[in-house]
Amino acid sequence: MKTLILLLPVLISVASAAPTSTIISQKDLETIEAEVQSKLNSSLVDDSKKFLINILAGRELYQYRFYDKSKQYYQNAINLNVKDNKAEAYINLMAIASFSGNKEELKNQYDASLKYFNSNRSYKTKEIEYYLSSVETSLTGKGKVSGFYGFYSNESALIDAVKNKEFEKGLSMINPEGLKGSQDNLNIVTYDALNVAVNKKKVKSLYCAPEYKKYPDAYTYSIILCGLLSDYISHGKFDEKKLARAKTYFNEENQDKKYLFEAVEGLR
Amino acid sequence: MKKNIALLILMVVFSSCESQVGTAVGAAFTNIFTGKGFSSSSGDEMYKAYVEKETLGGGGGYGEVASCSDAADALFMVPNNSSSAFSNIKDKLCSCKAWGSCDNKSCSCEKLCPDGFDILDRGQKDISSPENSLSFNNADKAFYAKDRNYTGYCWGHALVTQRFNRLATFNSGYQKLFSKAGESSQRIKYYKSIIEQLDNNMPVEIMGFRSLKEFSSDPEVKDLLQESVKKNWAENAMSIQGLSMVTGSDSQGEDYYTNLFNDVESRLKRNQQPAMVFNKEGEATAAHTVLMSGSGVDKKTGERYLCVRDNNFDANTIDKCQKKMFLTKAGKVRYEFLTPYVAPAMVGKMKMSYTENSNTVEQMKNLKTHCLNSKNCNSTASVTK
Repeated sequence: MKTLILLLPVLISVASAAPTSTIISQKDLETIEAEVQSKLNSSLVDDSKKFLINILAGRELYQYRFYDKSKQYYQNAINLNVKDNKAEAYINLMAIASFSGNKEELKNQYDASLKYFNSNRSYKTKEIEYYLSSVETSLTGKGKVSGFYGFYSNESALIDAVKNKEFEKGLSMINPEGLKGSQDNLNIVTYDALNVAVNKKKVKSLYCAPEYKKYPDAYTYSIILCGLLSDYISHGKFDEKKLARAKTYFNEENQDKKYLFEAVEGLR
Repeated sequence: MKKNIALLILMVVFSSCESQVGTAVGAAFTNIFTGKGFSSSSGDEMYKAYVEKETLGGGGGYGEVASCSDAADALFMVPNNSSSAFSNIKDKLCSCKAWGSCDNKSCSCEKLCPDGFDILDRGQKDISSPENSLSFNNADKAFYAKDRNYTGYCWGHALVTQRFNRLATFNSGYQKLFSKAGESSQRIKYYKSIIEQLDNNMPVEIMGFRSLKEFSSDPEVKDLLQESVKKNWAENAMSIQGLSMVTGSDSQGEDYYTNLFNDVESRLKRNQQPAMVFNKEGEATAAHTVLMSGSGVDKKTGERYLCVRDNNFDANTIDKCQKKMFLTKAGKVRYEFLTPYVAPAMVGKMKMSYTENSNTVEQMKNLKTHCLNSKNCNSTASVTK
């Protein structure tokens, strides 16, 4: 144990000799990885200590936003055959997949987590259960999650409904009263798009209209989509120039929101 | 034993290449063996090192006016307020403090770009003002049919606001970049790069806008910022450290809250508006994150309070300490706006955001580098480190 305590500052002091804005530079990362690997391979360190080193390296690197590297250390920790609580590794791997927008990876991490916590029930606290249910709702749209993770879960499920062209389902998830005074552009334009997709020309006004009128030429998804929707409810068709501009925008600047454009374009 | 000695030698060699940063990160690693667990990280250790350095006098005095006269002194010196004499003296006026207007010949780089909390003092009169706030609130209340009491992306909103307040300089005297027809794509990339730099705790200069409010009102920026708020929320709230915030909601006791109030006050004095995470007593998932912008004592009740910059509310209703969180005489914390109009309003768990220290330290380091560059102190940078 003493040996480990001695060597850890060595490993990390090398990593943190960073002269750049981030605390740990890329060059230092390479050094720390070489050092950590050499120590992990040492006969002085048993699996339980290796687990702790990996967890701590994953944690520190997560904190300084080296997510790819953090993932590696957390995965290493998971792969070790130890009885220690691996909750941190499983949860933070789901977190990284979540904010990276990688749903497939999130699904894989969620399945792996579920398997782990079901086999190690003493680590499956009510908070972990709450977390897992929020991820499940975000992935499937099923269930009800409120509070801390409520918005995240519901928004993820709503986006999936739009992507899957389940417009009525998506619209049913929204409380229109909540849009009064809304300042969230995604909420506003998603509601407007779903409303028009479901109710077509019966829709007489759009929540996004005031912002669109103020900034008609803004090169951003909320305004571009609002322009298309406005034309549709006024004239029953899109302006071809605006449509071409929208295609360019969503192909070149914002593929993440292309699912919304595809929903609107489908009105034709 | 021999192996231990070899390791010790290695440690000395490596440590000699590094100063407090390496020591701090190393200390954070050893914490896992001393039972401190999640509560301490390299960011915490480095923050403590800055505080200790200041306490020992290493960081003090940077804000003092030194070799240059300040405006009041200069006016006192003007014998008869004649316009020519006043003009001559006025031309020589400059402030010799962090981010001051003196050049590095009349004021040392150590004073212009100090290695301590003074570097966070960007000279803004009221950081909490609507002009220095995002133009939009935390996510809409009651947007979803199934959940009308969600908490939105408060953590991300607080951190993005904090980063702008600490790291962004608005230069309204310059033209907006890429504002001509046909430059839309470059403009979007420019805005993205600004947000990316801020997310990495890097200082930014923003041309053509006078304030955060104006900048974040531009729909092109607003759309990007709302995504950034969500990403920042997920990075923090979705982590195990974020989850730990909704583990339990019991009242923490008078001593705990008193220490926390003290900690916030010490940070306020050190030019910070810290991000605080808390939940409702007895309801762990009713959690929220806000910035703390001031403190005081209620004259009528004698209760201590913190000023809450609550992102669930319009910026006009949270400046000038309009929302207060009280430390009651019973040793509990009361905040009436967590779930508005629903009493009782007692706070359960309450902690500094777990990235508060690591972000602050990183921002200070980057601000200093930025300051040294902007003050042409590059040649002396190595000396001042």
